[in-house]
Amino acid sequence: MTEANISARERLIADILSRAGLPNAPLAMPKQVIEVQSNWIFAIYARLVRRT
Amino acid sequence: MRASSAAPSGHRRSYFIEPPKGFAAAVLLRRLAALIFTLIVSVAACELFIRYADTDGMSAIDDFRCALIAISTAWLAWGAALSLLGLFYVQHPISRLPEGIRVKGRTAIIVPIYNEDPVGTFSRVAAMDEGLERLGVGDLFDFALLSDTTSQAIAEGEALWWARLVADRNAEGRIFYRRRTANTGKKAGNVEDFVRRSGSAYDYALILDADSLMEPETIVELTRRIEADPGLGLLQTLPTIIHARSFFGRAMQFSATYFSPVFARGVAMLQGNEGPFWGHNALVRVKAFAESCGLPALSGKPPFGGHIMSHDYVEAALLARAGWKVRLDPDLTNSYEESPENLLEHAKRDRRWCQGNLQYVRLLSAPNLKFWSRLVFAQGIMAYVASPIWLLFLATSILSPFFTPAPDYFPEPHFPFPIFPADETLMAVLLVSGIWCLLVLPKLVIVLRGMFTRDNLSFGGTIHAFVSTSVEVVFSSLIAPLMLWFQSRAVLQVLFGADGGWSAANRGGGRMSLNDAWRASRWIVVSGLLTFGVALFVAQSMIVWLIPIAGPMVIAPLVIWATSANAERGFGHYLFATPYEQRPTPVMLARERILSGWADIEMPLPEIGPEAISEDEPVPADAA
Repeated sequence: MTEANISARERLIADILSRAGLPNAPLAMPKQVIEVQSNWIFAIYARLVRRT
Repeated sequence: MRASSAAPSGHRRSYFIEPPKGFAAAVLLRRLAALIFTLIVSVAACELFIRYADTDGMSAIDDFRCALIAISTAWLAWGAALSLLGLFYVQHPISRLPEGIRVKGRTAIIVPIYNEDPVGTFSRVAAMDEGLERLGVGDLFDFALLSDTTSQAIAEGEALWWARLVADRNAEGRIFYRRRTANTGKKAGNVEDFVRRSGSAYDYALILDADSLMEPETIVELTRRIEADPGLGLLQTLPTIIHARSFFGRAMQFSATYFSPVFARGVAMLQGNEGPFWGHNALVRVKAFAESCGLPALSGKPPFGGHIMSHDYVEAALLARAGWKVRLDPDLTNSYEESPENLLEHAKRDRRWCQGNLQYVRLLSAPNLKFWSRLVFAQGIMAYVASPIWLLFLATSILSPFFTPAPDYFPEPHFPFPIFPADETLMAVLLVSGIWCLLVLPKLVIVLRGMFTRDNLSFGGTIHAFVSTSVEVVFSSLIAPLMLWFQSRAVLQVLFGADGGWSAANRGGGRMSLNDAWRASRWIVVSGLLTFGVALFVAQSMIVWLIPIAGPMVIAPLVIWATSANAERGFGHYLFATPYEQRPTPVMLARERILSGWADIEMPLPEIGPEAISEDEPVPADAA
C-alpha cells in the first residue's frame, strides 16, 4: 500500500469514527464502598505470602 | 423499597404484582433445606471416611484428609441440591406489561468488544436489529458497540464494518460505535464509561457479550417485565450455548442446553431478591445500575488488588445492597452465547475467571451486603478452590502410609491370638460411589424427568438423550482430572501473585494439533506419571483407585487433541443433539443470512461523504 493510500484510509476511518460517537447524555456513577479497612482473611494471606 | 422512586412514568395503571404471601419464608426454607442437605451429605462422607481410615488407627494426616473430604463433598452436595431443587421449580406470578401495552422506556443494547472478529459480532447486531424492526419496536432500542480493542488492525476492521452495518440497517443515530484507547476497568469499566457518557438517554440497558445473540421477542419481554416492576434492578436470562462445532464444544453445548436449565431453576428457587448476574444477556435499569454499581479499584496490586475482574457477581450484590431486586427468570430462553471449542481455550478463560473469583476474598466482608450475596461470593471462591482441595486429598492419600502406625495384631494384653483389623474397603467403595452419585445422579434424573415431561423429544427422544448424557458423563470424567490440574495451577498462580491479564476470548477455530496439545499439557502428563510412580513405591494398593484420575492425566494431550476435532457429522453429530441445532430460531437464521451476505465483501465501505459528519461528540481520530 502506498503512503497516499494509507493516508486516504486513515482519513476514511477518521471520517467514519466522527459519525460513530455515543449520545451525549451523561449520568453520574458514584464509586461504591466495598472494601473494609480490616479484612482479616486477606490480612492473614498477605502476611503468609510476604513471608514466603 | 428505595427503588420505588424510579417507577417508569407514562403508564396509566400499575402492572406490578406483589410477591405471594410467604414468599420470603419459602425462600428461607429452601435455602435452609439446601444447606442442611449439604451438611448431611458432608457428615455422611466424613463418617464413611473415618470408618475406612480408622481400621489402622486415625493419624493426624487422616484427620486432615477427613477435613478435606468434608469440604469437597459439601461442595458437590451443594451442586446436587441445586439440581434437585430445580426439578421442583415453581414460577411465581411475575409483573409484566400485558400484550397490547407498549413499553415506554428506551433501551440501549450494549455490546462490549475486545479484539473479536467484527464481522461475527456485527452480524449478530444486524440480526437482532432486524428482528426488533419486524416487531415494530425498533425505535425503542439503540445499539452501542463499545470497543476496548487493542489491535490496530481489528479496530480498523471494526470501524469499516460499523459503517457497513449502519448503511445496511439504515441505522444512522441508532447503532453507535466508540473505542476507548485506555481500557480502564476492563469490561466493567467499558460499561461504566458508557453509563457515564450516555446513561441518562436510556431507561434500560441490555448488556450483551460480543458473542451474544437474543431473539427479539425475548428482548422485548425483558423490557415488559422490568417496566412493570419498578423495584426490579436487573433481570437475567438463561443463556444457551450455540454454534459449537468440535466434540468438546458440542459436549459443553449439550450440557448447557440439557442440564443447565435445571440447575438455573435451582438457583432461581433460592434467589429471593438477590439473584445472579452472569455478566451478559441481562437487562439492567440504568438508574439503579448507575447509582449502585460504580466499582472502585481495590487497594493493592493485582491479582488481589486493582480492578475487579469478575464484576458481575459484585454488581448483583451491590444492586441488592441498595434495595433493588436482582432476578433470574429461567423461562427467559432464546438467549444465546458461544463457548470455547477446545479444552485449552476453556482453561484459558477459566484462568481469568479464577483470578476474578478469588478476588472475592477481599469482598466477603464488604459493608452492608446481604447474607446471600456473601454466600454467592463464597461459592464463587469455592468453584476454584475445590480443585486444589481435591488435589491435596489425592496427595495426602498417596502419602498417608508414611504416617500410618504399624498394625498392632495383639492389642489385648495377654490374649494369645492375633486380632486382624476389619477390612473396611466397603466403606471406601461406598464413599467413592456416593461422590460419583452426587455428580451423575442429577443428570440421570434429568433424563428420567425429560421422559415424562416430553422435554427429551427436542433432544432426539429419550434414548438419544440418554446416550448423549452417558457419553457426556464419560467425557466429563475424562477431562475432570485435567481441569483439576489447570484450576489448581491457576489458584496457585493467583495466590503467589501472578496476574493473568486480560486475554481475548477465542470462541471459534477449535482444532488443535497434537503437538500443540502436547506442549500445553506435558506438565500434566509428567504429574500423572509421577502420581503412578510414587504410588507404586509407597502405596501399591492405591493404584487401582488412582487409575480414573491419573490415567486421563497421562493421556492428556490425546484427550485435548481428540476432543478438539470437528464433530458436526456422523456419530459425532448424532451425539449431543440440541433443539437449536436441529431447528435454528429466526434470529439465528437471520444472522446466518447476513453473515453469508457479508462473506464475499472484501472492503465494507459504503458511500461516505463529508456532509454525513454529525455534531455528536467525536471519537478522536487517533483512537483508531
